[in-house]
Amino acid sequence: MSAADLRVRGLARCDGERLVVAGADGLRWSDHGLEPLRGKLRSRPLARSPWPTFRRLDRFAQVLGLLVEQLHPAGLLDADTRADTALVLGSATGCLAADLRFAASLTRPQGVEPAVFPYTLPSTCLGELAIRHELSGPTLTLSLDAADTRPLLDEVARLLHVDDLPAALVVSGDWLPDGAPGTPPRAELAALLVERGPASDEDVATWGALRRAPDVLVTLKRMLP
Amino acid sequence: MTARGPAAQVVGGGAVSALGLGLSALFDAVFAGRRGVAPLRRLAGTDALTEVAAELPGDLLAAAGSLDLLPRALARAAANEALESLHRRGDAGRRLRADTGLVLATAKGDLSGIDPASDDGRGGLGIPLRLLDDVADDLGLGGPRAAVSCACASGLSALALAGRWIASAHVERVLVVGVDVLTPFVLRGFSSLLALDPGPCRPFDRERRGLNLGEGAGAMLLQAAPDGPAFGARLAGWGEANDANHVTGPSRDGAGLARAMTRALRGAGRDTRDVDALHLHGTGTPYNDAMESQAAARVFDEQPPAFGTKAVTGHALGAVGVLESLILVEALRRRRLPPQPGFQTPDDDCVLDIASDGRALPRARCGLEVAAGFGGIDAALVFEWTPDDAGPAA
Repeated sequence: MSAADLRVRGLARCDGERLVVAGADGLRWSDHGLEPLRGKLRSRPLARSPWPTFRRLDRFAQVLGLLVEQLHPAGLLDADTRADTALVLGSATGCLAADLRFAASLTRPQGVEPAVFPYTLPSTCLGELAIRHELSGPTLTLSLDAADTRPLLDEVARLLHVDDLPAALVVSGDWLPDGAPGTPPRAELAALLVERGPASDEDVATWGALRRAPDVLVTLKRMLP
Repeated sequence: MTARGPAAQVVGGGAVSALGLGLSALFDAVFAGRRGVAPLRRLAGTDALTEVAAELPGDLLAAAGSLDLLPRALARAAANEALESLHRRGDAGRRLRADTGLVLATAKGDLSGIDPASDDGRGGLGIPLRLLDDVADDLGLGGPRAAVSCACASGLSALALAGRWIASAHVERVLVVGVDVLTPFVLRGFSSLLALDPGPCRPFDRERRGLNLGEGAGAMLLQAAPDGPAFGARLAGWGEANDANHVTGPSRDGAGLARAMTRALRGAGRDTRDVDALHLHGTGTPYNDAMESQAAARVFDEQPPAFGTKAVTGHALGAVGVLESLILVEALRRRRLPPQPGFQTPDDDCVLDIASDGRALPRARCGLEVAAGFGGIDAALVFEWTPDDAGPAA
């Protein structure tokens, strides 16, 4: 079993400048009240909340949430499928930004930041996605080099086929715009909705919108056999 | 998981915990009901709402050389015990190790470079991938590698992933290592969430107030078919789910964990009546233990004998799932459940078949292991006791 046993139903990606979803022209960060992140890739506070609980999320979870929002899995999956849809995160730096923030709070006179601690566990971000999109299937967080998506997708293929699951929402990449000691800045994430089935040329051809989103096409080509 | 017959034989195990080095130290304490939880030593003086934890004995820390090297040293020690049968085979064992996969389970892994207590600036940065590569290199394991970080369910998620690798013929043999170290970062984090019992924890008891943290490493070697001494047990099924309800608190109705348990039993081709022992997550927090009761009520018409072991081992986060899986296998082997330190007064919110004393099992063929973690993660494994699967003596 490998990535060749997955059909891609939807893909969205984002970097420091914009959010792009296959099948659409893409959105700018400013559509979400965030200034473009080009240049120093420094995150800025969001001006408005896309959903009621959004503001309490940590930044990594916010970016993941916005990215997956473009993909709109609830619109692609019926309720029965969502109950068995897996959630998988593959990331190298994962929740490092939250780790650094919480560690810094250990020496604060006013004490640690309780609201940050849950986000020092990368599965918390997936929990936020699960709540938002009512996804209650297996949830898996893998620490891996996100530059190579093939091992992640191979793992997802095994999960769907061996565990007899219909679909998975897969999030891959890193969001550490300011970098960290020993880790350079990285700000690129992709979200895919995949289902069991061979990835065929037809699958790729149905993505007419890919012509308008060449960066997505490049990403997709890298992922499909 | 769909029913696919025998998935993975358990052919080795290893442990390092507050109870000492080795599986024997762990099992002796668990089945004697002797707590590893004690007044804080290394972490004494940490600003936290507890005075106890299940810390490693000081000699194990000294052997590691430094706090930053501790996760790697613990993982290596547990792994070497689990790989003992391969070590005994000399060159042949070395060749087998070169094809052996490694799945690492950890919640916070190597926090060097992050935690203010970090002492040599190694820069593990809490990135499990870095610890995974270190451990694989230390052990000479050349097969596929993966690092799983699913909070308190990491160990069970890692074992499920390893089972999947074997079921799909991705690998013939895979070592699963769970490891986590107690640091001020972790202790103060859980303290800030008001999740800690100030004293020794009391899982399932009416007066329970929270959990005790622990640390250590557990290792389990899984193989498609035994070709040497085996434990006489197999990982027969696994199931996972998400509560999709709350990111830190368990769902109040237990539906997610019930789904994970049902999936695991279905994958093993087992019925609820086949479960002879239920090893619960049993953290000792009011909500967790009540949630597990709700989940069990959803799954079982008649409650199977159940037990928890965190009052002895502490909650060792990414390590605890592997440690507890080894304890469940040992309970099946002994046909006996261990005593429950701290459990005195039953709680109406925990309608489970729990007993404060150790007790014999009328049947010991099939055990169910469960866990839950931040992010709404629920996981369950089915282990079968199959002495006939034990391979020939080396």
